[in-house]
Amino acid sequence: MTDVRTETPSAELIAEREILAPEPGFREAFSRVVLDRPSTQIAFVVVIIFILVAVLAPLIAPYDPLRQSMLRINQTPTAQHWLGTDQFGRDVLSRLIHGSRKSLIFGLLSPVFAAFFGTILGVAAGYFGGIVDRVISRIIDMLMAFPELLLAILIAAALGGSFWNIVVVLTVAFTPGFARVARASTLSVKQEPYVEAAIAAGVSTPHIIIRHIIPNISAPIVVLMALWSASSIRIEATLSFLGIGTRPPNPSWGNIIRDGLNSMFATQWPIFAGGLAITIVVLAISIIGDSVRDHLDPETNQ
Amino acid sequence: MARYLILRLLDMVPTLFLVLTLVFVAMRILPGDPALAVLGQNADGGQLEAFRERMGLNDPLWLQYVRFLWDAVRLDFGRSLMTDVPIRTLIANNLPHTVYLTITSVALGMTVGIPLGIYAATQRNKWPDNALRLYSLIGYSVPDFYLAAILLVVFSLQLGWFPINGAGVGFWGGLHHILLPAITLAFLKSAFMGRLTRTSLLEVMGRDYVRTARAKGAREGRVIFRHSLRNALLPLSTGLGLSILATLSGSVAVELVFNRPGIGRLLITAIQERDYPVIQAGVMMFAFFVILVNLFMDLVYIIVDPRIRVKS
Amino acid sequence: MTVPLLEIRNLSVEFGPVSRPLRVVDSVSFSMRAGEALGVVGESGSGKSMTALSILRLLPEPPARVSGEVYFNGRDLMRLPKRDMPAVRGKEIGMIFQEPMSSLNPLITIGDQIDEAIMLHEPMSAVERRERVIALLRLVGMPDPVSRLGAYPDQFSGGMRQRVMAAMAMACTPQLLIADEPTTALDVTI
Repeated sequence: MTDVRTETPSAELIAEREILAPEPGFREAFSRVVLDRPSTQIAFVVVIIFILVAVLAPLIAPYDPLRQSMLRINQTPTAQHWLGTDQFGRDVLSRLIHGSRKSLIFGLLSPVFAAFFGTILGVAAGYFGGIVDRVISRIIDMLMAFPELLLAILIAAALGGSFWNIVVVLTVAFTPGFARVARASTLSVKQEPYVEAAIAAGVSTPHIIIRHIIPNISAPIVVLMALWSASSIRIEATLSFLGIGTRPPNPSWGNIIRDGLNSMFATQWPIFAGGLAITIVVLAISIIGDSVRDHLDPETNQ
Repeated sequence: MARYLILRLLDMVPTLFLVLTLVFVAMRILPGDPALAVLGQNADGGQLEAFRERMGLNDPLWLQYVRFLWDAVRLDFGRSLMTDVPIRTLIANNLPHTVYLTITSVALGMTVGIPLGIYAATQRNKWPDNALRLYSLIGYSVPDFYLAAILLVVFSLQLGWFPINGAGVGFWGGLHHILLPAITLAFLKSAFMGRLTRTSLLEVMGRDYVRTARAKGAREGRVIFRHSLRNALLPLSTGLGLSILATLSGSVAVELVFNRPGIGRLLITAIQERDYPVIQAGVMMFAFFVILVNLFMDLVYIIVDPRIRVKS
Repeated sequence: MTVPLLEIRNLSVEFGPVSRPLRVVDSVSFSMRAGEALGVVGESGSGKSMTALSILRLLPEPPARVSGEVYFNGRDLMRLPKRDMPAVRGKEIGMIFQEPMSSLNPLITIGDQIDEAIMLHEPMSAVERRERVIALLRLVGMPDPVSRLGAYPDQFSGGMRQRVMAAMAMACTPQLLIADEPTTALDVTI
């Protein structure tokens, strides 16, 4: 079974090969990736705007996102409320702006944590091999069998959805992906002459890992982090939509749509606006991720 | 081949065991006192004690664990705390809807996605290829529940072409009700399958044996359909497995938006009502699904790849 | 003086950007008559395979850019419409590749792969083709060819696979057989 999967170009293999391509100078790569296509330039601007909005939310938002007003429920857009109000009379635009903070935090936090744990597991499996590798690989394979979203839903179902629980959920869901890439990269770096030389010279294991292995596998890990932050934002929104993510009344893009669905007979603006926000940001990050991947692997895509 | 199958089935046992153990650990140990979680802060000591006794929470942990495994093996999940209906009945009522939705969506997504991918591969780097690329990026970026909500608002609410909730009665009723949810899920899956088909096909078409086929005088159509597509099917079947599972996870939100019965909605409702045995059963059902789909994909491998058949 | 079977004039193959081309075959010219055997010798990377592949126009264009003339029986293959090339390949010119391990489709039986080469060009019945496949396999020294028809490439060694390739290339008795280092990848002993 396994030999067949490695012999034929599986999607995973393609992904791994893409990520294992040699690393060019960072600044040169950045300018090539960002400046190459107009779509990537636009995506980059979108991501910067998104980050600015999230950081400056309290200054930009016209209203308090939590302030209710029974006099102004389910309004369609007006001059005062550009995107209307929800079923509690809260300003949808303000909720959207504040909701971006949740997306940004989860989009940054979980991939970083997952990269940290995934790298540790992957390097341990790849470097030490033997029983350590077998146990870790087995667990990775098993977790990889679950789509991230489903895994996240199941863990959130069991844990319940507080802030840190969502971070844990997303971290657990993403860790196997990082571990797999880190393991594959470690295996290939370990065979490099300079690592073999260091081992032969009796350099201590922690030293080899920190000085030789980690720096040489960091490029694919960073790329993966960028790709996962798009997934992270999408999955957090889905969990919040399902009512097992960010708890109301705190705004998040997912639960804005959830509330919107409850009042869809009166106004559909929260649904459209909330979804559009998620789509645009996730699309922008994906376009950047896609360009980076193309850049690392020109063969299969150009 | 039979031996291979048996090996694969045996291989499922530790996975199943580990999944069950994880569910047990997550449900019994992590959230604190289940009795308190279910009955709420206002419950008095007597109620809590009675609940613990009824659920067997006063027994030692290992006994609970053994009983949990035994119940799971017999597919006995107990009764709902809210309605006192046996959970087996709840699952029997909801499972067919989820399976029906998943199969319809995957079939629809493949029917659209695979031809798109083949076409894009033959038009590499021309506009159809770029269009597919954009489509797959959008498909990846639009959350299932958002597309579901938009379709619901536009086609059910404003145009009134489709029903707003339920699963319908009879074949035509069922079809009428399933169309929007299935299109929602198929849209995203077709983007994924299209992109995957394109990439796998292009990779295979660069192989030496495809060059051999051309050297024999095979025309382009034959090169693609006879010599490349079946070989591309191997990585594609991995993608198909992922796609089935992604559809399954998407079905949770879609069932909620369209108010359709199904395991996803059962699970989400149970979470809101803190119907703890139902949550446990729902989580296990999804885990079983994942294991089953992976097994199914292995079967596809055996069918597509003669090398496995020949070797074992 | 008769027309040569194959005459190549100024054949060049380039890769890379037009402004900074990488020329892997540079103005190759040679000719050969029917019945002749011609050996092209050169170190690795000197463009032997590229030359062989461009005769049948099997190089993907782009990225490759092929220029020059390839006269086969007096007809310039380079100027032949693309859709007419399949009729030449396998029928008039057969080719054996360098890599027997990867040049056969792993999912199709060797019998079917040889059969296809005949089917594409000759109006023969399935039964006739089967006889021909068996005869071809016998010709290239495959032991017990009848029982091997249903076998997959993975069940053969490199040498046996290369025999299958040879059988395939000769299936329609082409006038020209191009063999691109057919024995390079094989063991020294047969």
